Amino acid sequence: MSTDPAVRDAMLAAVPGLRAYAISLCRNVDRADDLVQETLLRAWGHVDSFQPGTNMSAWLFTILRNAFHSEYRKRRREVADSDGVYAASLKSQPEQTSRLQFEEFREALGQLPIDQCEALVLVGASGFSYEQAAEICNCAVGTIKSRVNRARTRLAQIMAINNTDDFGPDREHSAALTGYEIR
Amino acid sequence: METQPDPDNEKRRLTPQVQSHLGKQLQTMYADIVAQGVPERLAALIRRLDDQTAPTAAAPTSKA
Repeated sequence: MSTDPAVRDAMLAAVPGLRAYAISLCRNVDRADDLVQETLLRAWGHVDSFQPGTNMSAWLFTILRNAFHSEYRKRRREVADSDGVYAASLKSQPEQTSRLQFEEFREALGQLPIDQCEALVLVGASGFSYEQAAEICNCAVGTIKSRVNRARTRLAQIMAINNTDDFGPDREHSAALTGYEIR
Repeated sequence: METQPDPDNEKRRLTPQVQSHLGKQLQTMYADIVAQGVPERLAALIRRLDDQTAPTAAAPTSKA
């Protein structure tokens, strides 16, 4: 049995996006890479079920999501990234304030229910349409849309972003907005 | 920068500006990870899988 080199190349090309999705779900780089590895093994073993001409990326994301929900989801809270492996992997935030803001966002994302988080990531970052995200998540398009809307609303609440045009508050300003009433 | 307290702010929290800002944060976070590329561990896995399924061109070796 030989495998079409195009399939191998397509899988390789999909890995960075799969990792990003997996990290959003697992919130831990090592667990995410485990999940991606499991996904690749499953995909390779079921490559005959992939229909050439269809979206390989969506197919891989579906396999990853199924693997996550069947095996990794219950372990998510047990393996929070307490040793900062995930934070250390983000090296492109040289500014102190922007890194703090970035971590604030990452933590807020991690507080979302999984269903909302994955819908938001699929539609808002992975580049899938609502219809594709619905297929990956095996639900109705309307369900995805409502999850995305709830995710956005919840994120805004968690980050306590008020109706201001200053989107780069320093930590003191953030604390003032979230912890104190402004009269 | 000071802003007047807005009693309706609870309802209007998710303005298009806020939504856009959150969207950019999400995409930046995602792009950061994508920029890391493929870890060697996973590239090696794909190579190994590919090698295992490659057709054998040489004459079969007999293993007793």
